[in-house]
Amino acid sequence: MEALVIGRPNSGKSLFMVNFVAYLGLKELRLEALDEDGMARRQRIPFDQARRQLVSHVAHKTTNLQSIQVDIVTGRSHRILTLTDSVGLTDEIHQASHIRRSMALTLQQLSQKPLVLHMMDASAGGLPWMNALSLVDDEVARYAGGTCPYVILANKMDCETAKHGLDRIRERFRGYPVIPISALTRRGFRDVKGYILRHWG
Amino acid sequence: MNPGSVLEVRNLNVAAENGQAGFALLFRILISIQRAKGEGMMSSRSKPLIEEPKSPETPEEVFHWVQAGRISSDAALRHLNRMDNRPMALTLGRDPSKKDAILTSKERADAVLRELDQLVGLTGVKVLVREMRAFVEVQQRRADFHLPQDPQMLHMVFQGAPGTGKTTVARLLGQLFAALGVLPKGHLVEVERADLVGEYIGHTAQKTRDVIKRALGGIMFIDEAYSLARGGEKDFGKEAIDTLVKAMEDYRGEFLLILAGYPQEMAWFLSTNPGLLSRFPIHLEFPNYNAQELLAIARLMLAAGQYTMTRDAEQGFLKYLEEQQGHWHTNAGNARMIRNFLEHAIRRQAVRLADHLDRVTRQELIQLTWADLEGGL
Repeated sequence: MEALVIGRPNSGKSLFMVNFVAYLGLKELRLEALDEDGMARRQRIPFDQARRQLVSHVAHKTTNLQSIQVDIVTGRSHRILTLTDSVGLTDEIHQASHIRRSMALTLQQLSQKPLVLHMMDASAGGLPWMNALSLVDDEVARYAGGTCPYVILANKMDCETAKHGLDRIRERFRGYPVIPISALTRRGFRDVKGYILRHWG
Repeated sequence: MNPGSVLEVRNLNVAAENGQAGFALLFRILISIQRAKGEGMMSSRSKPLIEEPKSPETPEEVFHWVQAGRISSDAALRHLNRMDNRPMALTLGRDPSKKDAILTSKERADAVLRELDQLVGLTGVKVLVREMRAFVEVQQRRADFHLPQDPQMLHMVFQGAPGTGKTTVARLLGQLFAALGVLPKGHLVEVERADLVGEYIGHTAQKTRDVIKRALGGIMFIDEAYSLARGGEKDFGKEAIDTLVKAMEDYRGEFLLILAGYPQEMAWFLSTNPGLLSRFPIHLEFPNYNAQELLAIARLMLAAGQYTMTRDAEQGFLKYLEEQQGHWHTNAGNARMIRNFLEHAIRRQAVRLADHLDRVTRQELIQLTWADLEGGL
């Protein structure tokens, strides 16, 4: 099954993916990156290196779609999850053409109705001076929430401001499932795995 | 006040003077004014529309526009959303296409039944599956007429020796119920004792509940279910059974539980817990295959791999099966046993042909002779 991690820049998509596949039991990252030309490139990276290489505080560290295949063994059956990390979607039109190209690819992935893990930054949502929840979040929820298996992951729950942010997210996206997680401390990963398994299809 | 309404007022005066005839005139003038107004508005707005379309028409166009930097991603999602909803609105509005959708669900059910019919033997099973299909369809029709529905439980027990097609039938049932709309997903979750029973006190209930959650919307198939009750008083298997029984009440109609196992063991298993027998109203017997059926299975298996048996091989094989009938070990494996025979025969054929591989014909590669089969029996 295909799962797509989607969200705004710097909401923690890449760190979530790296830590989540580690949680699912992968020993090293077998990354299949789809670069801007739509060409697939395979590489293997050990986890500690992957965190350094793929994750950053600067927005738009991830510039292309990269997916990982994970085997999930449950009972007798043996299933393969393809987890895809995407480029952060912004409200504004981005000035760099390769980012725009990757955004288009992300939307294209989204239109193929995968399981959608919608990443939101709960810690920023708690700060009053920053409107961290944006139009693009609303639109992703409206688009994906109606058609695909869809769940909101309220990330960065290890931050102090996140509690308030989670309430805000719950309020704004009433009716959609919300799982509070922390990609850093791996909180809530069990619920995410359970959700993915329940909506396997 | 715009000039149009001044004209209207003037015409009203004329109409008041001319009486009846004036009314018709007034009407005509009013209509023409309205038309002129509408056209003016249309032309002033449609001009830029012709030069540059305001919104993309296909998803590909949306992706292209995002890439070109013409629209932001949230606008793109709005467009995609609109495109997704459009065909749905169309199908809802038009009757014929709606009829198509119903037909396809019926056709899908038919396809599953056809697949079932291709299984050798299993007459009783086929009859019962047809009964269930008819029952479900009639219940749905009753709902259309606002008649009360019979809340029948469709949990089942499959009794039969190994290799008699229990898993295959369970999988087909899942597809059938999904096609009929009884189960939302119709997937099969195959579990065994180890998936349900935990390692320490309290672990079992949790583990079983997790498995049930996965099976919601589909079929949960517990193979060798009797092993849950084996192991004496202190065994955790009892806890798993209790959790299952409770889940069958809690998630009534949300999933279907199929217990499978050998006939004697299953009979004993159902007697261990007083609530079990009554909760599984449907019992399907999977009888052992007779010699003719086993031969038919062998033919199907060979045909799938582009092999055939020669005439004397078939006769010899049938004779052997008939002689052995009733004398097989209970766990001989039926269809699986036939597969093992055939695989051995194919290996022996390979040895026979390996000597003169350069002179071998296509026909020889396809045919299994009695000599090939005999050695493996």
